[in-house]
Amino acid sequence: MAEEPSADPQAQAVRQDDDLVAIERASTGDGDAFEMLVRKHQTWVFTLAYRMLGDHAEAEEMAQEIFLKAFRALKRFERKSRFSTWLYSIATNHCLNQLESRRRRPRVQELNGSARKGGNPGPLLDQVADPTAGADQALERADLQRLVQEQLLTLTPEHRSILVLRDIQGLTYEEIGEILRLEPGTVRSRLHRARMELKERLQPYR
Amino acid sequence: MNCYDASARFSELRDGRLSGVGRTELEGHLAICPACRREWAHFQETIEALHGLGAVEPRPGFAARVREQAERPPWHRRLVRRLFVPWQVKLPLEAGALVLLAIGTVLIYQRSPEMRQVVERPGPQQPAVPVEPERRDAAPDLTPAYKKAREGKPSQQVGPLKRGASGSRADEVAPQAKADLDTSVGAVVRKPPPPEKSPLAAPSPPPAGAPADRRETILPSSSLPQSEARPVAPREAEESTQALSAPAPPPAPQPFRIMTLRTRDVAVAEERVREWVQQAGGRLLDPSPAGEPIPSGQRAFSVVIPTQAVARFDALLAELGQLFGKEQEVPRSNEALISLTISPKSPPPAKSE
Repeated sequence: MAEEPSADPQAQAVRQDDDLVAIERASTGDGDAFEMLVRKHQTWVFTLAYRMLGDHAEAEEMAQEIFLKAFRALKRFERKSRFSTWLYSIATNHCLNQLESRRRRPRVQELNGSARKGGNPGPLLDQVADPTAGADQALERADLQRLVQEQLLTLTPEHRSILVLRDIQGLTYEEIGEILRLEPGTVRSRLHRARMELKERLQPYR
Repeated sequence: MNCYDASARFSELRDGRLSGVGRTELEGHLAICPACRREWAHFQETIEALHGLGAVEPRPGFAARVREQAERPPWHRRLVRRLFVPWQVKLPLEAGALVLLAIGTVLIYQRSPEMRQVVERPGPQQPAVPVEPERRDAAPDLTPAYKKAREGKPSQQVGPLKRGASGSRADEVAPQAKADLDTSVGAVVRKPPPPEKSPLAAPSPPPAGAPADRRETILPSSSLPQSEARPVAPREAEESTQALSAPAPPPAPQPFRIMTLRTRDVAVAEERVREWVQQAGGRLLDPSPAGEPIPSGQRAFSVVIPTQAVARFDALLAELGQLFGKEQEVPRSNEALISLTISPKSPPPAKSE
């Protein structure tokens, strides 16, 4: 991940200072500063979009829109929160809006070949518990990732977003509450329900 | 602690947010309950699987592409730039194009009645004028005064056309023309009946017992005996004609056109109109057959011209002076009956010294 919001506080402070300088310059139209900000945050923004939408091209388009939206709103960034948290807010809301509009205009969801409809799913999750798997470890790991991603996409957008923010992006409960504008108790309960639901969906593949 | 309570705290235990008694109780329950232990293991596997998804990188050059998009001006600015920059070159060109477009639109609008007629009448049109004498001769029931009027000879006995004869179509007169008509005698442009029965284009004697032609009903104040000659309203004349030739079906609605020309020299204008109408293959019904007296200094008569020539007639009148009533629709038949009043322009007020 390009930047882990909940990583070492000292390193975060240094990065935050870097961000503030770049934000100042970018908000005055400095293209270099803006490109630097994009490079710094592009990985996690793209990961968030991809995990939420499940499509590489769509995620890239979404990430691009998120950065453009942030660029146009840079002057409104009040520096009360960290830049990454502010950017997470924009990114998450943009993805949720996109999912909402997609829900209104339903389209055929293309699932890859590993999406199993009934039948014997096989012990794919053994990979997680057994790091000394056989020669096809990489392939199986890719299959596992695809399976988890597919099951993640079957969750509601609210559950999906909180799982992505917590278990993929590694944000704290407090950061999630700030991004999603939720009370800490709501974050806790919603996260637990989302995890349990995903566990149930992966149950047939164990 | 039961199994339900235990599973409800899995997330807190996993995230290190459970401590003290709660943590001890949960760990104690997991130690003695194999089902919850299995659930806890699956729960941990699920979260590990999510962690295993990891980060995904966009295609190379993503940041540069985003920067390019960010530096690109918004669409409305691009549109304005594309339309007007460089303004020294594009603005004059666009202004010229607009003027040409406006002129073209006006020209097309002015010529549209003829174009419409051509579209609606694909077959060759018979010239109305050459046929006219034979058919006119074949109309024995026309009164001498009416015949005289048809031939364009002046008659002092005929009253001017009453504007009220226009019936409901008077509402279609343009406001300016209406205002003008309030102060001076109006002119009438009458659409002839449908082409197959157009009495203006080819007047023929009506069969015995057939209803009288509506066109005739508005004309013949002059056809009355001299002793009874009085300004007769067309509606009244129509009713009397219909009463004589019963049974009479309700007459077809007669569209009309009122035009007034204000000019400096009424005599010159009248002369020019007469010449032009003759050249255009039309004829004058003189004076205008209607019910109101003509104020002194004015001339009122009806003109029958080919419909194709109406636009040219309008142009001629516009050359001669100030024209009112031109906005009305041109009839869609071979000929158009136009009742025209030529009135003098009031002289400019003398300057007081």
